[in-house]
Amino acid sequence: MEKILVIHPEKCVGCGSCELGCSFKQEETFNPSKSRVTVLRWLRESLSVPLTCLQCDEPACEKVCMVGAISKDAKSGLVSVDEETCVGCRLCVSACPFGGMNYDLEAKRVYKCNLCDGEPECAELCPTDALEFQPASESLVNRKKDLARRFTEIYKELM
Amino acid sequence: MMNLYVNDELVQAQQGQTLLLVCEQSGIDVPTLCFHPGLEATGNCRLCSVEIRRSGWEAGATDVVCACLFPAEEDLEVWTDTERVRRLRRLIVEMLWARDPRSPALLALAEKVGVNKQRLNTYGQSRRCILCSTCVRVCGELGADAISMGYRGVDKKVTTPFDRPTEDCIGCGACAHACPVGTIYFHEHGWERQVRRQTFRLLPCSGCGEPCNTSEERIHLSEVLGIPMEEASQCPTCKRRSVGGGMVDIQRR
Repeated sequence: MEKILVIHPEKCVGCGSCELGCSFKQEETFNPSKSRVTVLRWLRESLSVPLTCLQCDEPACEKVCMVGAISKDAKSGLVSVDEETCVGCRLCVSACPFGGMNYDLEAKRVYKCNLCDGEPECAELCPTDALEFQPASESLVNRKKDLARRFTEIYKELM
Repeated sequence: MMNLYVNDELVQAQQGQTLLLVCEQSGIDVPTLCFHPGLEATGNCRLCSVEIRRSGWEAGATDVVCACLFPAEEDLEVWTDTERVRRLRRLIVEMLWARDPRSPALLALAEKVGVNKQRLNTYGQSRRCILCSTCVRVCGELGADAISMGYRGVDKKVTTPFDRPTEDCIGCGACAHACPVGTIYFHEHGWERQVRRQTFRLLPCSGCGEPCNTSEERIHLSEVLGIPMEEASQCPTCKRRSVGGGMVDIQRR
């Protein structure tokens, strides 16, 4: 793994630059609903979280794809969809537990974050560095895993 | 690795690779309709026919084979654009085009191979489907197996058991997505989704209550693929919202 997209929810100010930058780079339109990254806002608590595909180690989308259109690149860690191979069954959209896979009803295709082929526009544009594209050092990966563990605990409580 | 010749140029291929893939790798365009990279090739449309000559054949002897099925061989000579291939392709396109004269995909193909007049006529019996079986293979690959080829000869068609709406169809619409000539009907509007001749009522997302997916899809995901039901019944937006909510909770603590 070379570089990973790191999300720092505590730094996010909810400006939505990442959404606009993403939709413009990917779809050539300033439309947050077509963006791969979403900013979730809790206005009363004044908290916001930018969220995109988490490039899972064992992706649920890859598991349900029966034609093998979704694959995880061992080197870059990127989970990508091969549009030529995709048959458009949308099972991956329902299977992803984090909502990272989306379906464009007009273009009739699934889409997800592709890290802009190694230069994520969202991280580039984020004014507060809430989204950062950093080399996957051991400490960073450990911190990410620690967060995931705490997240699992909370999630269990909620269920 | 082995060496073969495509249009008199030396190319390399791996054991078991089909001629279509070899041509694609070398940047040579071979038209095809029924080939889909995610599915097993069947050679139904015959459009990818190429002319070959095996080493050891007598002088001038060639044969025409289906590139999507024929595996690469050492010293094989392949031509993708000879007069024999062009004539064959034109005839195939004429016959496919007659089945569905209005299909944009077939119109484009006819133009590409140089067919400009409709010579063949189905006498009003236009069937629209070219019987390439892509949809049947897609449905089988997904594990739903709702459609198959039925009847024989001129009556042959893609159909469900007894021509009736089937319980096996999960309403995903992959058949319509994969159809190379756009014959299969798919329409989603509001709470309804139509696939082929079946209408599905969409179930609401358990988070926001907006139309999400069909109950058949949810059952397929949870029972066949082992995805928890609560995940299969939420839209991506609501799932992101609950994940984000978890992250915010961590911060609050």
